[in-house]
Amino acid sequence: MLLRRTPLGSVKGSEALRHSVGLTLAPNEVTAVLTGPAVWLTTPLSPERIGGGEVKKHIDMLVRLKARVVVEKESLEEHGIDPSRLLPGVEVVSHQEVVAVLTEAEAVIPF
Amino acid sequence: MKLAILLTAGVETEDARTVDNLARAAREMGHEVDIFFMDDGVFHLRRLEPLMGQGVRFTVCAHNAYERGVEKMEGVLFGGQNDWAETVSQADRVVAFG
Repeated sequence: MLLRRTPLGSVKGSEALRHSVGLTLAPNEVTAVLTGPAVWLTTPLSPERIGGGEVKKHIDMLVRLKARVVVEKESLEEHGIDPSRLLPGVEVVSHQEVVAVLTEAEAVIPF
Repeated sequence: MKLAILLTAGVETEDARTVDNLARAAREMGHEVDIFFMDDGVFHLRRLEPLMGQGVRFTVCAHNAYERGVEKMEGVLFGGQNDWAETVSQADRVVAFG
């Protein structure tokens, strides 16, 4: 799952994460990849407080289900986010690793 | 070949038309086609209904349909993410529009 959009102003980010959790209900190996402004989804934001969808519970669930949640290091730097602020279980990977995850996947679902 | 299509785009894009053309062409070539409607993609259910006559299977995220007031339709599975997860695990190709 590839998430690229800003976390606020749309429920797409929350829906993408809900969708990622859903994909684990069958024999699918799921990795949620967050790049660009979507990396904010892995910080302690609460979009549900302004009418957006929930985020944290989906990320928690993915981590518990052993699905990978990875954020692009370069996107974190671009947005000035220190990795210490990320939710537990979120992995920081390089752009090259993001490319590898996407090219090795049987299917990529962009949101 | 089994083709799985995810449609999440709303009516502001041309994606539904592309899905229509793609699904039609795939069926003409003898491929199996499943479409999963999610988010604003549920608004395209009526428009794409003729595809079911071509043998395309429709599944709708019931949660999203309920949120948007989209009513049930005969022949359409109003299911959940688990239905799409099964479809993806069995598909040869997955294409997403949204």
